[in-house]
Order: sequence, then C-alpha cells, then structure tokens
Amino acid sequence: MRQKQHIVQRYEDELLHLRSLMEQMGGLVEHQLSLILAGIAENDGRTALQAARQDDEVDALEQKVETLAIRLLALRSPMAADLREIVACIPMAGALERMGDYASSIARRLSQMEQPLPRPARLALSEMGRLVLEHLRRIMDALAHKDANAAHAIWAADQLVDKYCEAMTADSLEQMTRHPHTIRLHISLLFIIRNLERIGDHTTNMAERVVFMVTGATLPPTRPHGHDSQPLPPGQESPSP
Amino acid sequence: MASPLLPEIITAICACLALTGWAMVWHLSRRPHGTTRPDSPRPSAPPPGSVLPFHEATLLVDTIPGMALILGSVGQIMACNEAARTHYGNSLGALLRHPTAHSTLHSALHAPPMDDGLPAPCSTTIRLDVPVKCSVHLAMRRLPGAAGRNSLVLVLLHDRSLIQAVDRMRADFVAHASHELRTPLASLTGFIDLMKEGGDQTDQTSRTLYLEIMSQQATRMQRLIDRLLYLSQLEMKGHHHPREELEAEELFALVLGEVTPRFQHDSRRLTVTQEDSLTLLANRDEMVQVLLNLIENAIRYGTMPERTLHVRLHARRATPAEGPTSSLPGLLITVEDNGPGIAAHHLPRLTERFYRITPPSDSSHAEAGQGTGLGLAIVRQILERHGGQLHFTSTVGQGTTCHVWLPAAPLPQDQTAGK
Repeated sequence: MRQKQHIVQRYEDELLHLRSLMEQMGGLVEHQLSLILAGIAENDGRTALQAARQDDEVDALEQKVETLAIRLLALRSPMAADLREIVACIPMAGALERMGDYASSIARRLSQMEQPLPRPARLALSEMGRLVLEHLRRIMDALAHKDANAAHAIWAADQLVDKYCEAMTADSLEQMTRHPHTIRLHISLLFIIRNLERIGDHTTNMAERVVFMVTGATLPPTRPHGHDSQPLPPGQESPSP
Repeated sequence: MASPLLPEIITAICACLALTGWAMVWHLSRRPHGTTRPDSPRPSAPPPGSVLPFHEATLLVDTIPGMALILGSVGQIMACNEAARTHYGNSLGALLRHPTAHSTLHSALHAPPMDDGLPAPCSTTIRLDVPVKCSVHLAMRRLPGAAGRNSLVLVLLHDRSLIQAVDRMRADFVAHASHELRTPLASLTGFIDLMKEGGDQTDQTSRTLYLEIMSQQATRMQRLIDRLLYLSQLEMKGHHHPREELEAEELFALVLGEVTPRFQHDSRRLTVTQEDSLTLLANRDEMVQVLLNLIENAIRYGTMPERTLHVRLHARRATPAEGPTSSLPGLLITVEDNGPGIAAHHLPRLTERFYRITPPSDSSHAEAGQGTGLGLAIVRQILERHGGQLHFTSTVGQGTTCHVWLPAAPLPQDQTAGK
C-alpha cells in the first residue's frame, strides 16, 4: 500500500503531509454535508449554517495543498506514481473546494428558508444528500487506498445521483404547477437539489483523478449519465466502461 | 610527466568514495527491521530513547481486547487491530479524517505530561451518517518516548451507536408516527362520531361498512407502528454484517410457504425458478422479509383488473459487472411482475421512506391504500446491512422488476461438484 521509502526523508514527510492535507479537506467537506443532513432532518437552519462557517477552512486547505504540491514539484522532481499523485492533488483539492462552496450555499439557503420545508421534501433531500455523502466517502477512501477500481465504480455510480436529482426536479415542478403559493419554497429546493447534484459531479471528477493517479490512464470524457430519457446527440453516447 | 593536478584528483576521488560509502551505510541503517504484514504500513525507525519501540506498540494494539489502532504524527494509520478493522471496516477512513478526530489527534500529540509522567489523554465522540449511521467514542493518548515526526498516538474506539440509535429511534418514531397516524386516526374518529350521532338509527348495512373501514384503518395503524419499530431495530444493528449461510432453495421454500395463500386467487400466478446450489451470506428471517415485501408490492401495485398478475421469483449467480465491486461473488434475485409498471422518474425514489406513487385513478385498488410507505425502505435497510444492492427496472404497461444483489457464500469445492 505504502510506497517504497524515499532516500530523502524530508521528501517522504512532505508527501505524507500532502496526503494528510487531502484527508483533512475531505473530512471537512464530509462534515459539512453531515451538518446539512442534520439540519434538514431536524429542520434547523442553524445546524446547517455551521457548515457554511467551515468554508474558509476548506479554502485555506486548498491553498496549502496547492502550495505544497508546487513546492514538491519544484524541489523534489518527483517521478512516475509520485508525480501523478502530486499533480492529481491540485485539481482534486479544487474539486473539494468547489464541493465546500456548494455545501455552504446549501447551508445558507436552508437557514434563509421563509417557511419550513415540507416533510416529504425533507425526507427526499436527506436521501439524496446521504447518497452524495456516501459517494464522497467512497472516493476519499479510494484516494487513501489508491484503489482505481473503487474510483471507477463511483464514477459510474454518480448517475444514481443524477437520476435522483431529475426525479426530485420533476416532482418540484409538478408541485409548483399545482400549488403556486409554494413556488418560492420550491425554487429554493431546486437550488439545493442542483447543488447536491453538482457535488456529485465533482466526486466523479475526483474519481477520474484517482484513476489517473493509480493507473496513469484517463477515463472517457463522457460518463454514463442519468438522463436516459433524453437521448444524447449522436457521437456523444458515453461508452460503457 | 605527472600532472600538477594529480593530488587534487586523487583527493576528489577519495572524497567521492567516502561520500558514497557513507550514503550507503546511512541508507541501509534506515531500512525497517523485520517484515511486517502486507497490509500494515511500514514502521518508521524506532526513535532514539524510545520507551516503547514500534513493533512492541503494534503488538500492544493486537493484544488490546477491544478496538484499537495507532496513528502516526500526521494521522496515518500505523497499526490497526483486527477488532477495529472488522467492526468499522469502511467507516474507519471517514472516522479518522473527521475534523473533530483531527483536532483531537492534534491535542493528543501536544498534550503535556501529567503528574504520572504520561501524556494527558484526549477524547471525543464522532457521529457518521455513511456508510452506516454510527457514533464512536475515540480516546487518544500519545505513546511516551517518541517525539516530533516519530510520535505515535494510541487510539481506543468505543461504539456508542446504540445510545445514539435509541435517541434517534425515539425522535424518528415520534416524528413519523405523529404524522403518519394522523390520517387513519382522523378516519377512525370520523366514523366513531358518525355512529355516535346516528345512534340507533344507523342501519345494519351502514354499521357493518363503517366497522369494516374502521377495522381497516386500525390494522393500518398497527402495521405502521410495527414497521416503524422494525425499521428502527434494523438501523440499530446496521454495523453487523450477517455471516450465516443461507441456501436460496431454503429461502424460497420459506417464502412460498408464506405467500401461497395469496396466490390462490384465480387472477394471480407465481413462478419460482433458481439455479442449483446457490448459497448466500444472509440472515434468514430478514431475507424472507425482503422477498415478502417485494412480492407484496407486486400484488399491491401490479394487479390490473383485466390481466392475470404473474409474479416471477428467480435466483441466479450474478456476473461480476452486476455487483458493487467486481471482485466479490454475488447472487441476483429478481422479483418480476407484469403490472402497470412505474414511470421512470419514480424509480430512484422508491425506497425513500413514505414515498408513495399516487396510483392512477383507473387502476386504484383497494389494497393500494393499505401501504405504509415503509416496505421498500425496510428492504433497502436490510440489504444495506447485508452489503447488498437493490435497483428497479420498469416499462410502463409491461411490468416492474426488482433486482436484489447479495454477496454469495464462498462454496467449498466438493459441495459444488456434488450437485
């Protein structure tokens, strides 16, 4: 699992530190999502808002990852697996930072709700949020264990999130048509759904980087998408893995 | 003629040799001593003056009767005992990268020594939502001796999920029960009032009808409460993967015994097929529950007035692509009906608690209203605990298929050859 020992101990330490920073970032974003889930379940905007407060920390960590990665590249001239790992960390930190942004956006929206979310919407959001969080957990584990197969599985599984997003959007639209006085609430809900779906998309970006980091191969540019009902234009059909 | 530079060249060569030699000795001396298990990370060199050398620390973790692990100075797992690995498996990573765990590790690393000379212990409780909801108490203490980058922190884990689950169960139960029982309760009170007002003037037919409806509502409330409790119980044991072996044949026989009465109706047919010698790793009662719920749904939502309902139950070996990970052997059980089918946008949300598809008015069936909205949530909860998977495919007008993937039991060779 662990790489061969590097002769320069300092280099080894810096690599470990880089990995630890990535872990910390992942842990923070996971915690943000957990807080949001708790906020949704308890209908408590303040719990959710704690997630927004962690955003600065995520941003700071992204900066640290970037600086350290560049430092490693500049000073240690890493090769092969190390090189791929260090290079992959930069966009992965970027993806995590974006997820953090989406999470705080959801948190703010939840705390600014004028009327409490209806119970079915809360149950559905918890379900979708849990799915997204589970994918994030799996990709962070895949990164830690350098497991390309697991990463690939998550890359393909994100279509579940897409489908969920689509189902909830359809439901919201129907509700809005039926009960126009809930439009305000449903617009907020749509934004939250959309943000969750974007977090899911970023987990697939990370999955691509993990596969690259471990195998050196890149995944096809389009992945299986949940939008089966809308046929893709020819030539964009995603090749099945 | 000797070059005037010769002494300098000789000195340079000597210096190079000395340097290389020193580097080799230094490198060799840094090699880890002894071999470690393939999955445990390389131990770092024992720090000078260490009270507890690394391999002894590893031994210590293995000896601890309970869940324990040792972390390095940046939070990397240096050693982890079997108990922690088997109990937390997939959650371990998420647990340790949780911000609270991270800050506790930081405090543990910098804890000042107490009166007895040992570093002060630090502890925290962490709640996770995925992969299974759990609550874990972490107690950390830096191992004395090593310092700086060689520091080691001993972590003891205690599962607090039960306490958390009981709390959540109560909250969930109150929330769901108060909401879901309202409708049947309102109906009950309505009919009670009606009968009270009518007094003796209520004729016998109306009276029978009212009582019939009231009894239906009471049954529904009863079932709702049962299911809510069952679901909470399942959540509480989410961490324990069942390890019992169960023959598909036995499972199907049990299920058949339960559902046959429901298929004595002329307009319903049940076909059961399976491949030979399929063994899964699963809890028998829970698997029976899964299949009963799925078949029940097929009857409840698949029955159409003009068509004979045909439910097919089938079990076979899964292809690697069908499972969650390609490396794990699995079984696929499908429950297929030829009912009206389910629109695609409902499919992802079917297992959501209390999610119901409002049945189209033309096919509204007396039984559809009897659903609790928890049947599939229970199915999913059971499958999650088993490490299984559930998904649906459906074509409107043709029927719905539920695909259940479950881990297969590793079969001894002679047993497969025997059948």
